[in-house]
Parts: sequence; structure tokens; C-alpha cells
Amino acid sequence: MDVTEQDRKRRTVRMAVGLALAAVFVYAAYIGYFFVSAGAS
Amino acid sequence: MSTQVATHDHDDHGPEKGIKRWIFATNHKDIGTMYLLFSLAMFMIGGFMAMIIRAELFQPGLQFIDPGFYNSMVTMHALIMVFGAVMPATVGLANWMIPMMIGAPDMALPRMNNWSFWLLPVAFTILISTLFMPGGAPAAGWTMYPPIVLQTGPAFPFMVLAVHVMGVSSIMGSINIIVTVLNMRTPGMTMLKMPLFVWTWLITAYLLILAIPVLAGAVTMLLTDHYAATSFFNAAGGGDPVMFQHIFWFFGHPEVYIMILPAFGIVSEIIPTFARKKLFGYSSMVYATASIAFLSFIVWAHHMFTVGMPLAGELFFMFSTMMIAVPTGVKVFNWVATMWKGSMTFETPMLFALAFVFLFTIGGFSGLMLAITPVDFQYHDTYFVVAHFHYVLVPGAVFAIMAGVYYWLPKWTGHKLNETTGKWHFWVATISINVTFFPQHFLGLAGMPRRIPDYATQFTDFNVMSSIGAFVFGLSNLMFIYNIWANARGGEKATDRVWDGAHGLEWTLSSPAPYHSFETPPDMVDDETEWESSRFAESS
Repeated sequence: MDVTEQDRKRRTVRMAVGLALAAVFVYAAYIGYFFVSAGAS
Repeated sequence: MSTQVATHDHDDHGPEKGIKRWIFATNHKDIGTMYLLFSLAMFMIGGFMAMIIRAELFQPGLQFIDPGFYNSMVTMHALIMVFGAVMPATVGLANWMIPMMIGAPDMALPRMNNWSFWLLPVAFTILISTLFMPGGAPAAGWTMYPPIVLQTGPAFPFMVLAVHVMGVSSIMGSINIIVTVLNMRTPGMTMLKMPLFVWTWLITAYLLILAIPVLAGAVTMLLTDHYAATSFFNAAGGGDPVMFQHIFWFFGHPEVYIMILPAFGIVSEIIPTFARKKLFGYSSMVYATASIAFLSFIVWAHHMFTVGMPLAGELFFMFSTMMIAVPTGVKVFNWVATMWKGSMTFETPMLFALAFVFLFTIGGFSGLMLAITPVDFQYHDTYFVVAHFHYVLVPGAVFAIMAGVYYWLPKWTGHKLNETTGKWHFWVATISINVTFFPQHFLGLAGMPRRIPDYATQFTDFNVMSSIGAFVFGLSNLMFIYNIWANARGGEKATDRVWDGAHGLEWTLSSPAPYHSFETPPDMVDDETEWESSRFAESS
């Protein structure tokens, strides 16, 4: 039970960090793509 | 550590006393309540701006406000209603109901939940404060198209900051919902046994995480164009203003579904309760929701057919947009099929849900009309578009939220709903909303442009009608506030199940729901068995 609870908490935090990184990645990728391709001339 | 947490007994303490209960809130019900009250406040502020717009449009010519302020009102009304009223309302309902529906004690990340709420008042204080800045509030529309948005005065960076802060709030809220749904369901509640409201919110949360950073990226690029001499959207520097429209709508169209998918979930909870029948085609509802979410990312350019694009592009976006009608049609069909031969009663939440089905479908049909590229060339930027999206968002999303509030209010307060005042609110709101927005279809077809404070005299009659409808609808919301206030103050005691056709874990809790719900995971009642036993109970 303890292990399961601990696992669940760990999984929750890992998942939350992963999702936050995904959001940051989309943000950076968008700006980065347009910066490199054409925009910031 | 984990043992301590798992066995920690909450009976010894209730909520904090006074203001600290709200500032440091980590309880999902408290945070849900704050989200809902915040959303209601924003709804009234955004609604007041709509009244200013409709007062100005009551007659041709300029009446009360100058065109610049009119543009600010249109812009602020939209930003406040989309990001301040509709989205926080559905997040509030999610906060209140998702843990109770899946048998969890709270949201998975309660402290982050507190942060995601409290960022909202910060964001909207910044946004609303721009009204008092030199040069006025942003006035380029909620779409913030360059180059016109770059003409905004000192309010510009504040608008960008506000959008970022509300975006961070939404992403944090979404992360919380995803990890709660995926990790905290009671044993036995498999994904395909989750209530539809939970499913629609899970999918919405993924949409938010993918879409909001795109908006943030777009406004960041606007900011650097303005202050850092970049030319992302500046044609003179080699950039392209149309590119902003593509990026904005790549966010903007999923945003539409971010507002409407939770509404689908609410209606999918209410209709089975008052039809006393299991939801027809549960799994097809889930797949339809997922299909809509996927399609929402490949239709964005239908908002900008008139910028000029290759024929192949026009055809692609026209057909992909029309494809959305298929999963949406599945949903409408399933709601109707749920009611078919049901033992229906028409309490206030059901009336709002029924109005949603009818009136959202009208908005859906006008959306199909707008999807036809050559036809859109005539409708674009006219009041037809205004009529379309208001049908989808007001008797669509807003009515579903009101239905949800009336449906779950007795569970929150422990008091039965006053059906008389509830029905008064329903009928006044439903009639007035149609008087407001239906004539706008005709205005648009006749060529009246949107976002202009003056109009040709032949448009007067329909505008008068629309303004009168809007004033009545505005006032009808005072009845909504009264109903909530009166229910919170007292009334006949509600039973645990509240509505006799209600099913699901949330109805096994006492009314009002205890401050800490489901300290230990409840037994998962198989939906099939529950519906069968209730049918048996009814017939015996």
C-alpha cells in the first residue's frame, strides 16, 4: 500500500513536470521556428 | 512519509477561519467556489461592456461613446468573456466535481491549484487596469491582429503580460486536471467508466496544454516586434502580418473547443438524469470528443479565408471544417437518443440542457454555412459571424455552465433548488437570448459589418430588436445571481442523491458535500448495474 501510494505520488509529479515541459517546448518551438525561418530579420 | 499521508485523519480540522481560508485554499471545493465566483464577476463586467456596445448600436449614428472606446469595449468584452468568464467557470466546475466524480479526496496538486486560481485575479486586474491608461484599453479585437494592435498605447505590454499570466494559470489548471484524472481514480474506475464530464475535461486539458503556448508565442512575438525591433509580423522588415493570423487561429480554433467540450460534458451528465436513461452511446461520445479535439487543430484557416490562400488550402480547410459536423452530430444524436422514450421531467437544469441542444445546434449549422469558402467571402466580418459564435458560446457554453450550476448547486449548498425562480430565469434568458442574436443573422446577410459603432439606417429595426433582447438578457442574469444567493442562504434540505435520476459517485456523498470527500477510495459502482437497479426500483 505504502509503495503504491509512493509510486502514485511519484508518477503524479513526473507526469506534471512532463506536461509543463511539453507546454514550454511548444512555446519555445513556435518562437524558435519563426525566429530561425524568417521572422526576426 | 507516505504512510503518514495515507492515514492522516482530516476529521480533526475543517476549513481555516476567515480570509486565510480563501487565500491559502488548497481544498478543491474552496478553489472551485472561488473560480466560479470570479467567473461570475467577470461575466457581469464583460456583460456590462456588452450593454454599452448594444446601447451604442441601439440607433444609427454615434450616441454615447467615441469609436475608439467602442473598439476597446468590443476587445475587452471578448477577452474578459473568453478568458475570464467561460474558461474559469468550467475550471471551477471541474475543481468542484472531478474529484467527487472519480472518488478522489482532492485534486492531485492542491497547492498548484491555489496558484492557478490566484494568478487569474492578477491577470484580470492588469487587463482591466488598461481601461484607465493613457490611450485607453486594447482596441484591436480579441484576435490582436498586427499591425493595428501595435498602435495600442501604453496598454500594449500590459495586455501581453495579462495574456501570459492567464495562460500560465490555464496550463497549471490543466496539468492538475490531467494528473488527477489519470492517477487518482478510485479502484475499478477504468478510463471507459469515467463520467463524460471527466472525459471531456481530460481532453480539454490536453487541448489547453497544446494551444495556450501557441498564443503565448504569438503575443511574445508581438511584444518583440514592438520593443525589440524584430519583424515577425512587420512587412516592412520582411515579416508577414498574415502569419500572425495563422498562429493566432492555430490557438484560436482549439480555444473554441476548450470552451465547448466541458459544456458537452455537463449536458451529457444532465440529460441522462432527467431522462432517467443511461447515456446513449457512451463510448461513441468519448471518441467523438477526441475526434473533435483532433480536428480542432487542422481547421484554423477557415477564420481567414478572405486573406487569400491557394485553392488547395481553401478546399482543405473547408472540408476539414465540415468534418467536425460528423462527431458533433454524433453527440447531438446521442443526446436525442438518450431522451427517446425516456421518463423525462423538466427541472431547471434539464431546461437549460435542452435549450443548449437546440440552440447550440443552430450555432453549429451557421458554422457549417461559414465553412463553405465562397459563401464565407460574403459572410466574413459581418454580423452573421457575430450571430454564429454567440449562439455557440451563449446559449451554448454559458447555458451549459448555468445548467451545471443549477444541477450541482444542491450538492454544494445542501438545499433544494427553487424551481419557480429557476424556471423564470430560464424562460426570460432563453427568449431574450434569441431576440438578441437571431436578428443578427439577418443583419449579417444584409451586409452589416462587425466591430463598427455606426451603421446604415436600413439596419435599424433589427439592431433595436437585438439591443432590447440584450438588455433583457443582461437583467435576467440578476435572477441567476439571486437564485444562487437564495439557495446558498437556505431552503428545503436536499437529499444526497438530489435528483432521483442522478447516478455516479458524487451523489453518494452527503448534501452539502463534506469538506473532505472520499478520505478512502469508494467502491466503484458499475454503471450498468446501477442503472439496472434504479430501473428495477422504479418499476417495483
